[in-house]
Amino acid sequence: MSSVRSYATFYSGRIYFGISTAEVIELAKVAEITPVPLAPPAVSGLINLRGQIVTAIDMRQRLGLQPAPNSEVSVTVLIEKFGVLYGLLVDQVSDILELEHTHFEPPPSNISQSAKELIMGLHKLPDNLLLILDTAKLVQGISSDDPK
Amino acid sequence: MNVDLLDKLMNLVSEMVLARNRLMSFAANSIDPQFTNTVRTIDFITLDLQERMMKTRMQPISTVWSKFPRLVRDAAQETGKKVELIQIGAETELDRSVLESIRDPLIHIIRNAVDHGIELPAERLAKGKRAVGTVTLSSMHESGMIVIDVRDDGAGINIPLVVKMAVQKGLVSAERVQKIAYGEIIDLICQPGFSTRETITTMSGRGVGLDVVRTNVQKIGGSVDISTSDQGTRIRMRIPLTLAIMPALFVECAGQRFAVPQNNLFEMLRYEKNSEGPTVEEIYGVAVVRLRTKLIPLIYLGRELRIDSQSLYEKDTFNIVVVQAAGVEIGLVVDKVLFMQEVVVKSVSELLRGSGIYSGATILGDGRVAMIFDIGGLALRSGLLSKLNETGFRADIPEVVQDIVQTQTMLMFNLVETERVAIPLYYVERLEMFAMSRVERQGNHDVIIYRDQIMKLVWLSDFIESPEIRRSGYGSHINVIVHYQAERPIGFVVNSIRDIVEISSEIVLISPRQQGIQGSAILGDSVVSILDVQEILRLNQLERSNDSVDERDEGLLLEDGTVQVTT
Repeated sequence: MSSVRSYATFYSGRIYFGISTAEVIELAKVAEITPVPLAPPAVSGLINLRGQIVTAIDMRQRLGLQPAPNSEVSVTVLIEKFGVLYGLLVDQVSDILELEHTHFEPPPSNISQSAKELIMGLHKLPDNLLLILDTAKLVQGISSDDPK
Repeated sequence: MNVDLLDKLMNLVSEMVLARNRLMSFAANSIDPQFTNTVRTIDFITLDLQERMMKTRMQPISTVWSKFPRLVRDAAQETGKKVELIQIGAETELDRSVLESIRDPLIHIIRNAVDHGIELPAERLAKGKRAVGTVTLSSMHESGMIVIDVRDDGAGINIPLVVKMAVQKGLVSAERVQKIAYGEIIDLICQPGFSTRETITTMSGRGVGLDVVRTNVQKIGGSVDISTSDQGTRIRMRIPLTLAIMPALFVECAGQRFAVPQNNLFEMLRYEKNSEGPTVEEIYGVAVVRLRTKLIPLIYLGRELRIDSQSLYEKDTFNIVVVQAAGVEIGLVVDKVLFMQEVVVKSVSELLRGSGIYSGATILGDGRVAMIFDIGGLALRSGLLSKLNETGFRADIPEVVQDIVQTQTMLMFNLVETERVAIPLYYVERLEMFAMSRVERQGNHDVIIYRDQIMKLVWLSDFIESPEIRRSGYGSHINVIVHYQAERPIGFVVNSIRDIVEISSEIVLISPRQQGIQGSAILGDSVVSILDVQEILRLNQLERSNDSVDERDEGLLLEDGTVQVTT
């Protein structure tokens, strides 16, 4: 069995993230997002992707990062979890990387608990750190955080 | 056939409908006849495809009913009763997803009928009934819904016992019980935890009762009615034919669009400050609007969804959409009432259902997404229902202030250049929307194939405005009011449907008399022209000489005054 894994990578904030390519359906430009009142804050709204409804997740909000200065995200990374399509709104997509699994490391202990839950591990790249996200937790952990 | 595959196909078809809509707007601006003809063909095929696709999802209700004879036999044996089951209309078809969701409620109701309804043979004989009790299941189509009846010829619901148990369980206070109406007693049976059985059997008495039935049926947009006497009980369920597609009213609030399922919908009102129309008052801290003889509590959507910071009282004009939620009429305050459309219901992520106020989402013709409200959930979340219960709010206005003006329910529509024309609702069987391409010429009439019948089209603008308008005034689709004359459909073509309104029966005659118009009436602060249906039919030679006017009116009067709207 090959120990090479391939990851679709993107930036959110200035942080470099990766998701296993097997989970990514496609990348799409951000279409019009219909806001949904009373939805959890991490849910930006719904997108119509060729007749399918996609739940848009604001990755900056989800990862606890500062909102984008011009509040504009450019790309949606489409994944399917538990039968529902989710669109991860990210700042910028990058390359697909093939990485040796042997170089995979658990997340460092000094990152916050909430972030640790979402990060399965990381790859140390020559000039950067690639954080690998756990998409199931990414989607499941969204709470309604209802202020009411 | 695999349901998943069907759903995917259905998805593709609805996507194709959207793509077609976009294509049609290009065709409308094109002067290339070959292109427009091709688009027309695509339009036709898409429509056909959509209709057929819907049909593949339909299954006869007998697929669920087939298990019931056994159910009744077992239940009867267990209780020592003799019961026969009669099935009427087992071939009625409905969407398979709907079928799935009515199975359990039906099982429950039938068990109830045998266990609670039908008496023991000796008791029945003593009452002069046959020793063998009957449970009758029947189903039929009625104005776009399926009506399923479960009737038994048993003892009926013991009203005094119901009241006693309800007081005992604290579902209602003892002093309130003195004043409650018959309808509300029936409502008590549907309260969670209600059961009249003192002993728990394997079948009944677990307190999981009609409330579950009602919640399940309401979840799929249906309703449950109960009527009872000492000759038996009838439980009537009204269920939409399909969950995948349903008619909905689109409303706008703070610039966002939402869909209100039509089966929750009663009527629409427009509120204008300092006008003759409805007035908003506050009773027990609940904003209400006076509507004829009722007080309708209001939910201000903008505030409820936290998308509008303005308070209700700061607004000069708004629209009220009267809906029914959990048996209560509620007015949703919205900025605008947009249009009625059949929507393809798409499920949404659990994340969005958390708030409990949405049942799904849909995609509009312009490709934008709109959320569909779960009206019951919205009412619950607003806290309005519990507030109403606490304060003992009564919707009926005491006799003294009752409206004394006689009114008639009419459907208001627009013609191309003439706005606010109304037709008495009893002439209206259905509202439909057809692609212009489906209109065919037969002799000197325009016709359309409608439910396997040839429907003659009457372009109202020809009579009321001028025949020239027809060429330019209509787009790619026409709105048609379907009226049945001697069991044959006649379609009145109008430009757009506006609203159902109550119009004073006092019709003011106008002079000089206008062709096709009976007269005018005043609605709020505007004038409505009342269509002279008889004259229009006469002008079209559609009237049958042996029909007297009275008979015709009688025959078409809709039972409950409602009208099924589909587009």
